[in-house]
Amino acid sequence: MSPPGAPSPHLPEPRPGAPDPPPDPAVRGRAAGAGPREAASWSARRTLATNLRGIVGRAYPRVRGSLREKSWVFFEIALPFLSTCAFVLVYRALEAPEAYVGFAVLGGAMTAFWLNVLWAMGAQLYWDRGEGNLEIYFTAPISLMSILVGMAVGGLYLSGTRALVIVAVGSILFGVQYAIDQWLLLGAVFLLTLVALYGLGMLMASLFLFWGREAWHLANLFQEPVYFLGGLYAPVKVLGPLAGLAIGLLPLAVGLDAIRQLTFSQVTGIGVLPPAAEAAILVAMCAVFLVLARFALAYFERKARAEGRLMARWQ
Amino acid sequence: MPSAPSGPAIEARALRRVYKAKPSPVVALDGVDLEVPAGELFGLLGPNGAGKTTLIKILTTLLLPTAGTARVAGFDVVTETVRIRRIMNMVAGGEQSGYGILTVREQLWMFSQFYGLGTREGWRRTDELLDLVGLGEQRLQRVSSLSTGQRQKLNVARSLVNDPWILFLDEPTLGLDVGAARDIRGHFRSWREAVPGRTALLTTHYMAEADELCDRVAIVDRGRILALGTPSELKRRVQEESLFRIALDQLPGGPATLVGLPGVRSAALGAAGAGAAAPDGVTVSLVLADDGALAAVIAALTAAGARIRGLAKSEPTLEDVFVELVGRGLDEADEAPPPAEEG
Amino acid sequence: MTARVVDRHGHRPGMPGEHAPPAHRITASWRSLTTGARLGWAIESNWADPFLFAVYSVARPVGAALILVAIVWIVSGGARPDYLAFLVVGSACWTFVGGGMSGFVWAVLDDRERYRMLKYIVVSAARFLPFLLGRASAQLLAAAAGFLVTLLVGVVFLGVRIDVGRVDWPLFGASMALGLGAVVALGLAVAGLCLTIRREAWNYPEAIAGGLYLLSGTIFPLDVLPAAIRPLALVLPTTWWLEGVRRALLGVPTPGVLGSIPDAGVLLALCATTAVLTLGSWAVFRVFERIARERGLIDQTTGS
Ligand SMILES: Nc1ncnc2c1ncn2[C@@H]1O[C@H](COP(=O)(O)OP(=O)(O)OP(=O)(O)O)[C@@H](O)[C@H]1O
Ligand SMILES: [Mg+2]
Repeated sequence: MSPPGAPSPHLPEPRPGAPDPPPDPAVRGRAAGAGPREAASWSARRTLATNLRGIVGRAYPRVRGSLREKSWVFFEIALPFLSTCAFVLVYRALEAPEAYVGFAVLGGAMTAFWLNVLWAMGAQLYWDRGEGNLEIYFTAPISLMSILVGMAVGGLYLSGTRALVIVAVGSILFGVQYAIDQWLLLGAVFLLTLVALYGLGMLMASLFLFWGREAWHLANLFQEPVYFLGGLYAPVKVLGPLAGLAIGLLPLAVGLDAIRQLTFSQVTGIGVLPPAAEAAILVAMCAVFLVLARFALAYFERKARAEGRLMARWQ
Repeated sequence: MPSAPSGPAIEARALRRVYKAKPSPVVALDGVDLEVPAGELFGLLGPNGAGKTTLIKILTTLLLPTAGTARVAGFDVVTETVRIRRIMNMVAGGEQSGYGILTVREQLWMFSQFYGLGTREGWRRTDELLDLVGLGEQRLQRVSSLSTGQRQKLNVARSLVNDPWILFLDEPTLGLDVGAARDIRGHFRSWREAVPGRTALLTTHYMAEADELCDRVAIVDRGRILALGTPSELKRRVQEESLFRIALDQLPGGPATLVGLPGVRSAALGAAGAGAAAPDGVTVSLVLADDGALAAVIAALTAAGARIRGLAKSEPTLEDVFVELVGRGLDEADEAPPPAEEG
Repeated sequence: MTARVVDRHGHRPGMPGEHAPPAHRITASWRSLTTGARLGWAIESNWADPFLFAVYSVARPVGAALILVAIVWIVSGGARPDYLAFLVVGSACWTFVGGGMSGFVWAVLDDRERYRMLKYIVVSAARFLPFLLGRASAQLLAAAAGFLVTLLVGVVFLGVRIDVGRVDWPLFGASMALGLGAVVALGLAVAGLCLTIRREAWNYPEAIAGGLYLLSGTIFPLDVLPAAIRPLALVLPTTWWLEGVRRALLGVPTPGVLGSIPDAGVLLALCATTAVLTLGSWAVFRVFERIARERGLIDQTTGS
């Protein structure tokens, strides 16, 4: 093919004469100094800082992404608001006491967080694996939990807006009357509910990875049935003996029950337990879910590395 | 200047990896011993399914070995994962990963955060790296709109974001055009040369790439290392004689004229391709005991009245080594019987 | 594969934009539909055994019905059996809306982002629309299971009275057929929309179903809706579909606005609104498909 003496066609370029690309700017400063072994030993502070940055880094694309495609305002806020209204109208059709309308509005707002936990955390790692991002997460020097928290924080922006809009617009539209005596406890309960919810989300994230495609169906399964058991639209007390179970297992059920009691203190006899007791349950849930999530993720990582299969993209 | 680490940058001892698979387990690595000193750019060549990616996955802490040990910068890949992750990074070719909705700049910045760079430092480094890999103009474009080559450049930029000491490159130029592949090789070369002690492990199916970039090369097949050495050592191994190709306007008396000369092992009319430059002439392929025998050949040709139009020494290529060791060319390797699926 | 599709005259009947004789287009469409259906079933049934599949298919609709039952209970203590029946039929039917639309959306999103096959399907000889319809059929069938089980739960556990002998079957059949047509049309429109937006669109069908849930009077009589948006309810085929099915199964019209309209009127309204919706959805799908091709989004992968 080539004339004698010509460079072999396999060699795409002349070797010595090629102009070198500009030197790597990274050389400045950071790399110089110690060798790789020193570079690999980080202080606890640096490790922590890196994990915090990882959270921000992971949250950022979520927020940017949703700002970029405006259709979510319609699909994630306006339409879900309408389905909350549907439940309010059922109460109206039944000529229920006005406080019940407020119950439905609060429940509708809380669905935003639950959906976020299910889909944006639970199912997210599974998605990420499909897209080849999971491997890259694994090779980064931060905990998978930081990545998950980042997802949660990024998602909170969306679901928080949604919840806020539902509560604000719903309350004005339907004239909901709140009576709040214990602001501090209310705030604490709300925060605890979120932490417990997202702890559960982390746990689910690792479980969903194992279940693969089934995870999608599981997440689906955890919608209406959980709304029912969590007492999102009708206070959980109506479930009778089931209520105890719901309160013991679902952060959504405990949290919402306490929040309802604290925001409608004029209505009595709606709660399963007094709010303070429910707050204590939430504290326990936070601890249990976070610890379990930590173990589950560590177990998943070990298992994934051992089998080489869990990281595979299609399954 | 940084002190080069004392031990090898990458070290594998009797490394073995068996995948559970149906119908029978696959032995992807079958006792690999490897030592890559700090500062070296080391190449892994081997047919599809040889176990290259498996080795890289083990070294990048993504996969556990079934038996044996491996260390990166002296850290054990099984137990000291976090330390390894802080100082290494990897690039895999043919990947389409990325968050399509983000801009190039945002995606890279996100990764800078995973490695703990400060917010501003992250942006600064992001821009630097994008300029470095030549994506400066695309920085505000969405990742989903990048071409394959641009995506791979972004991938390269990502791999440099933590200023790694050790890079693992699994077919980093897969599917790229000549120019883009050359750019990417250039980045890795200058990255390594900028700081002594930076180390890279590369797998590739492009022999010329390995020849050009790598200080040493190992040829693997079926999970074993078949040969290991510098490219020229390996080449010498397959061929100790000198090979020349001479283009002539004519050769009165045929190649037999040359065979009797001292130091000439064989002479033959060249392959069709070799004659392409001289459609009306002839090409002779010569195998000489050593280069010194050439003088006598030229004298004999001139005496016979042949005019020399061209003369080239043909070097054996890594591909020759590969074919000799693996027993089949790279193209044939593609059609090799299973197990050869991409993992 | 390709060889089979090329006919005697060397035409590839399914090629987009090609003017093939109608008979060929029908066979090509049919083949695309069945191929899509087979693929849809293979994917849907691949992940779990049939028992689990059944559990998943019915848990949601039954859960949704139970929420409403809980509401009725907490307010009236079980004193409104008529309303309970109204709710059960409404939420049973609603299974089709969410499931049907999700089927379409997942056909687009899964094939595009997960399997990355959408582009190959679009460029293949398959006809895209029938393929999507086939691909979504698995979910529609799962929805049918949810529909039946929800009704069953209503009859067995909640005391809803559906007398099989007195059901108006012609009315039921006609309402169901037209109503499902409307659901499929909606699915197509949403699938078209999904061609142009990012992966997070997976939950759009739910959101849209949620909005329609309110507007179609699925769980309350239309009179409860503010008067200003009531006309909106009357142009939705879903409103008429639900009314038709309710009348057929329960034997009584919903009291209020719809109550005075004869059965024939309900069917006529359902027919007309479904026809308009189908035409509109088809146009929407085409428009978005065009946009997707114009912007090169057919093979995009997104995520955040
Ligand atoms: N997750 C897995 N499960 C089962 N077998 C696997 C898995 N991953 C890889 N293998 C098998 O292990 C062997 C080595 O695969 P590997 O990916 O390491 O090869 P490779 O050298 O990178 O090949 P290529 O050049 O094609 O990239 C192959 O036979 C492959 O089929
Ligand atoms: Mg490989």
